[in-house]
Amino acid sequence: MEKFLETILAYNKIGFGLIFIGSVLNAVSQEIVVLNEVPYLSSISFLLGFVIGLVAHIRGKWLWV
Amino acid sequence: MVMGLKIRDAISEEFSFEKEKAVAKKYAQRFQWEMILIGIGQACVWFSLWPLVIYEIIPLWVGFIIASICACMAYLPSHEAQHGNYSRGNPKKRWLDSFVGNFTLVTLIYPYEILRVTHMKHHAYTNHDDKDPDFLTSNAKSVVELILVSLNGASTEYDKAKEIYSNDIAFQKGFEKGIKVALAYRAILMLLVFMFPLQTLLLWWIPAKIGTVYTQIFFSYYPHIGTEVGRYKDTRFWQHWMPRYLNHSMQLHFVHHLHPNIGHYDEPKAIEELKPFLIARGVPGAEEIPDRVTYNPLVKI
Repeated sequence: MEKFLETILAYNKIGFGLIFIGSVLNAVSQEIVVLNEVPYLSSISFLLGFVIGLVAHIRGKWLWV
Repeated sequence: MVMGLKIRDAISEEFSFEKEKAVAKKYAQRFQWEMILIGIGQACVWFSLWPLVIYEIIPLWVGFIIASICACMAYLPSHEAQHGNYSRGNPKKRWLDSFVGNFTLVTLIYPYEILRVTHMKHHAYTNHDDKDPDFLTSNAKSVVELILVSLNGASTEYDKAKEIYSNDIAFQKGFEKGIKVALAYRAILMLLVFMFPLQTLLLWWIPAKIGTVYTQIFFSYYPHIGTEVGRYKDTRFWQHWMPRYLNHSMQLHFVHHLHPNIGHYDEPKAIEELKPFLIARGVPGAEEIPDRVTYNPLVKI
């Protein structure tokens, strides 16, 4: 159980990026009419969220300051 | 020299800790019903926003504004609970501390137990750079730095406190309890954002961030700017352009650090009576405390 918790906490930022930021980007992109023609829009949104989370995980913080 | 010592002794006797404590005790008895009302009330309003927004009874932006106000009001009722100010030492009423403390923090997405144990350490080691869990926010160089620290998540890196207090069993027990609640919050947040992404962002996540920054600015940063280590030195009386009713009267936070059991709404009266003690003890800013604090907005332009 402790190991499981440690794993979740260790990859907290990546999970947050993928699911939370990915979902928000996906929802926002669906609202933008000019993006409606873009293929794989949902996949791109979640991938972008994952990358943001991964970068934050590597850097250890979210902001650039 | 002898004469000088006698005068100093007379002052210290007149404003002894025992006498100060006796005055403070008078204001540490009343049941804090207002805080319970605010804590439970704001959380209920916040819960009601979800169906109202999802069924489009009110627009999302209105929900966002109301949720942000709720988040700004969420911490203080939990803070009273952290000090046991609802139960007042009665074991049969301790559930009330726990219930209000946990329930009100839903809006802020914080686990009560982690805040409770770290806040006790903040009181015990205020302004100690290695032992005060709030040091980063209470000793930030500016409001902008504080906001950036907060948004970066660094202000809530309580795992550092967990390491420092690794030998404190009560601390560790409270922390472990809090971690489970934090994970439950995270799971619910992830589930909700998958189902209602924009609502979760604007009703919960951003308001919680706004509430956290608001709390850290007024509860942690302003009361401790430029203060030192020591019972009468670590928190100050301050004033600025904002009426105290908009920042939870945190101009008066110093008296809470001296006597945490004084109820929040009883602090102005307590300060009026304790003012000579505070001046004698050299509490930062004590000379500027007005004789009448109750109903005084404490505005200074």
